[in-house]
Amino acid sequence: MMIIAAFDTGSSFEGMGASREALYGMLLEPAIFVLIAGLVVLTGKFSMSALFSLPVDTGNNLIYGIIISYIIGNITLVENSRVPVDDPKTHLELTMIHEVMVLDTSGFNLALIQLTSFLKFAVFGGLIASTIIPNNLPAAWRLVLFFIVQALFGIIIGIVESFRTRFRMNRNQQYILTVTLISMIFFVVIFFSKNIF
Amino acid sequence: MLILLYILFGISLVYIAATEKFKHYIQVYTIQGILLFGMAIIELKSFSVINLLFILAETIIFKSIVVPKLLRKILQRTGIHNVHKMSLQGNYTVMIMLVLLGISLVLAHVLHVPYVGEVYMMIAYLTLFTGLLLITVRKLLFGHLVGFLIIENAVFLFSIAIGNEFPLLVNTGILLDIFVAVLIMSMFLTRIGHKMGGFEVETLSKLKD
Repeated sequence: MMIIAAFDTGSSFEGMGASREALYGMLLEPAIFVLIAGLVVLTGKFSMSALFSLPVDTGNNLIYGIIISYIIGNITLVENSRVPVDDPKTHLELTMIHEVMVLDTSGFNLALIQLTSFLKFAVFGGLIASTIIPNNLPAAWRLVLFFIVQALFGIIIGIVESFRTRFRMNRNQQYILTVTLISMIFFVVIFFSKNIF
Repeated sequence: MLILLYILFGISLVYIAATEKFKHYIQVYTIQGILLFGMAIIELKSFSVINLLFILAETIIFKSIVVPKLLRKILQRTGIHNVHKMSLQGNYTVMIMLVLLGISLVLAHVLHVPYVGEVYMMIAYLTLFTGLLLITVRKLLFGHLVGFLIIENAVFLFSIAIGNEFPLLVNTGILLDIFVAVLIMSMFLTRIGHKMGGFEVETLSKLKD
């Protein structure tokens, strides 16, 4: 929708931002799909809610949770256009990715776009929360832990952003490919440890 | 726990292939030493004091303390910090690593030994290929040195995977290998490198009797 809205302005500058956004989204897709494939092998389930609530009886729940959180955290940085991949507050318009697309947007529309990016960030935080929090806890405890994990996720991403500098544009592909490779390693290790071959 | 160590070791290989700063090479190598210590301790079947001391000496003392310190000294002396400008860029090395991961996966499955875990062999093959990749794509001698050290780690992984008792002969061999590799390469870098006027691999071809 964002890409279509950027094209709708008719500006070649926003078109450039849209093409960058599409490129990074496309490069990141293998990482997400391979992670999901790894979770399918691990849990043996096929629905999204079941995939991200790991079975408690495996004993390695927390270990898997940490690795999955690490991968999702890296995916979040790219998908939500955060530092080091993109800088939402940069004044250099030529180096923008996501913000180029919303340059011509203002008022209520801009507010809606901002809200959707906050929601997107919260969805990734929610995925991490459901992976880490054991599913045999009482609902009230899970709710409390959910908010704690969301808050911690925001703080950690904030710290990561504060201590890292923005990558040069040509380094972004390398970063995304690295996330994909880590996701692949996770998948292969799970695959072998389950003796599926 | 072992699964976490496998995955962390795999991640460390990805980072060493992707990074272009020699400082990061040393940091990742230090972490690999600690991870190998964890793996060796968990995999060890017969528990004796001598074995434990050898593992401690090889992994924590040598791989995580002594060798990184030596490597840092080499970097300070030579004043090199990044890989050669003409070296293959990180984008391509990461893509090659994806292919190498696939090859390691197939090899671990095809050359499967009944009493050795496939995942163990896969990580060992990937480590071996990463070392070879570094030697192939890096033009400066320091990159080659780290490549050799990564191959040493692969040999170490193979030795724990195959010999559960962790024979003393293998231990001593690995220790000697590490010593010789670091000594010879540091000599090339610090002594011959200054004389020859460069730290690139090509300068070694000028050496005569």
